[in-house]
Amino acid sequence: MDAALTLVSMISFFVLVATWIAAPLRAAEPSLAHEAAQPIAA
Amino acid sequence: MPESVISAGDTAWLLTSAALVMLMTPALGFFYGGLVRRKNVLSTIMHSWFILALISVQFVLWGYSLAFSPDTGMGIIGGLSWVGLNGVGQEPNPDYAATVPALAYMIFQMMFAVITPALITGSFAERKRFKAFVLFTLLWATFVYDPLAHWVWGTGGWLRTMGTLDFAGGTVVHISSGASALVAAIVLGKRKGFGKDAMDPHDLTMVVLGAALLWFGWFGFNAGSALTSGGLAAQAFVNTNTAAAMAGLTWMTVSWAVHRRPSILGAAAGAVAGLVAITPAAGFVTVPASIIIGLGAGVVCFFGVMFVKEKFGVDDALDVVGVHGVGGTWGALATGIFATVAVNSAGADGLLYGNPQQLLTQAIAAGVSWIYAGVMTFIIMKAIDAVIGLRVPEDEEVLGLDSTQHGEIAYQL
Repeated sequence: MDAALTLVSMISFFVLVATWIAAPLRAAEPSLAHEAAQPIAA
Repeated sequence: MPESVISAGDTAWLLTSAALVMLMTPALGFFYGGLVRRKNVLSTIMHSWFILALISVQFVLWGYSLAFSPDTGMGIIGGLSWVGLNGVGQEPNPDYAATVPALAYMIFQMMFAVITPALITGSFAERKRFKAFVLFTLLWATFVYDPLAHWVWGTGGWLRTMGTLDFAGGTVVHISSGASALVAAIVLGKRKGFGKDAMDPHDLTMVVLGAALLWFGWFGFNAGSALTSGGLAAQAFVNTNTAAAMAGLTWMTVSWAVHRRPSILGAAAGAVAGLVAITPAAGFVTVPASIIIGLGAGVVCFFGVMFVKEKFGVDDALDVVGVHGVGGTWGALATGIFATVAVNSAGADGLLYGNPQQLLTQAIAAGVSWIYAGVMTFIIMKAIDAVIGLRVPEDEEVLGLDSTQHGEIAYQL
């Protein structure tokens, strides 16, 4: 049972990692509007 | 093993120390977060926060096994017998800490594994893609930190067998992160505008708060490494505070002489440099020696930072190489100079106590750590660059990583 739980937890972790790697590059666009309202070089 | 072997005092101290060391990683996030420009503060804090979660799981699943399970031969790496903490339970493991549950020792070590890759993030701040950072951290922890921890602290580890003294991680934590930071900064390249535009810290109050919490947590890092709650912990505690204080005073003084101002940033960075340098020596040297180690750290780290950036032109954004690489190396060598069995009978005498061989041993361990961490970091960085790319596009770097990588901004002013 312990070995099975370890296997499932390992798979769960790697599913998360794969999700991060496959995730889209850019974050939400609306934030750029906030940023544009501020001096970005400060 | 009989239950009476467990010491309530030792266990309480080690678990408390683990909690203190845990605090250091978000503290590092604030220390680094204050040092960057405000458009990158969240992405910088996120590095430390994310690593705290990521390595907490990695270490349970396979990191602890690779670092601390019985050696697979030649002292290079542990096995997979403790994957998922199989066999790591409430009974002590006398190979590591005979008076505390094996789980307490594991969680203490986990916090070291967490903060080490977080230290490196200071070198690639303000320009690295988040997903590249995630993959780098996972690979670096597995192929650099875990083997190094095994070499120095694991049963059968080859540097441990050779007689290397590293009380709390001068080689495993600080030299490895400093060397990796140097390579990472070179491979990633300079920030846009480096050397031309002002890149001043956006919030020094945040920097000092982070440094203060690091200093506080470092008592767990070093005094906790005694693994008992007795005299050796007290010795390491006092040495840690003394070296931090002396290095802070020294860096500020050198900075005052060079830049004509007593800088709060210098006083804070100096204290961190002293904490780094005393780390390998904390449980092996006398209190007066810790003053000398702190003094040396304040000087060599100050000039280390200057040389890396101004002479070599490496954009080590938040001075990881100068503070952790140089400070860790000084600490490792200083341990070989000042160590005495009068402080810790399980240690060894250093150069000043008639044993020059110890200094040579320390130099070998430091050199090997620099080379291994540097080469492996180069390989990992190049591999990630080839597969998913390391660096954000130039327009995103100009806008800042907070908005482009995370879709958030820190201050609604």
